[in-house]
Amino acid sequence: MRLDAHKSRLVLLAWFAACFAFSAIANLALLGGLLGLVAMLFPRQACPGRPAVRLSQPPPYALAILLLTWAHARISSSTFDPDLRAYAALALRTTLIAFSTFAVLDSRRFARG
Amino acid sequence: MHIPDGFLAPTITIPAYAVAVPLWLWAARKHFGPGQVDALPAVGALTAVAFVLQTIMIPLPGGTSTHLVGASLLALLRGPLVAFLCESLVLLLQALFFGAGGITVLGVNALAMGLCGPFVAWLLFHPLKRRTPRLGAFLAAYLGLQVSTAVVVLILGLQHHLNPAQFPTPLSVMAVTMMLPSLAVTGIVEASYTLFALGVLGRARGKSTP
Repeated sequence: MRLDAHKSRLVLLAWFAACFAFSAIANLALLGGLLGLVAMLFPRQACPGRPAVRLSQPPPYALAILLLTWAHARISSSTFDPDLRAYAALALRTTLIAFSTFAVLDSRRFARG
Repeated sequence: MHIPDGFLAPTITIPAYAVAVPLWLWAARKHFGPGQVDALPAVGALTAVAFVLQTIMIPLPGGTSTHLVGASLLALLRGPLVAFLCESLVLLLQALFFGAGGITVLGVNALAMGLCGPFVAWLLFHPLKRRTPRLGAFLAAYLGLQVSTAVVVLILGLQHHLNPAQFPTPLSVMAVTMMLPSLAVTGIVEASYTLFALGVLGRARGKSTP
């Protein structure tokens, strides 16, 4: 399906607004649900055919950075007790926005439009 | 030192856009109008160098990174507004195609890395330009990078202060994590690169000084 210029602009505008809306969410369940929804909207980008491309998706890196950050915060500050749920929400939020961005830009319909 | 998407809430990112957008428009009108076509190749080349320099990032705990910026060189040669505009373009391309930084935090990153640091570098370089141009350029680039890093640290600290559930790492941890590599390594490399590039450009123009 080809997207005309007007529809393309609307999709870009919706993506831009959605990124800001996503960046305000701190609820883990809501973030997880939204990530699932976005993955359903962009199935080809969520599960690319080539393994090399699959490995280059944001989730593995986001998870690694989440764990490193949590461990670092726990070691470096004795008075600070890091909340793992907040870090998980941060990682999910970052992943959600990054995936939405790449999915929208990489969308085949968009490229053809 | 890009702040990634999701680290900051719209309470910070939207005001940052509100500050950055008028500055982008002003800078574009002032420096990239029809009368400034001659400057575009040099500015384009320096922007491309800044893009390459910023692509080489060393990840830091806390979710950010340390890297050269290259915007101080642009500020010293063309002024802080040109540096701001070019750095913003670099950040936009990195956000869209490399996942570095982000689209919601573009205003914040542009103000921190493209305006605050280069502006301080430019301010510092001017009084030292005539007496000790080489030392002046070195100090300006070094301090410019430290200012950019400090602004990023302060913004993350502000987000933690406003809502720890949004950004759980406190200012004290981020300050140590980000400022130490910047003070000890990245700042010196950035300053050396700026000095080297100014020397090369000065020789190409037949001058011994920048």
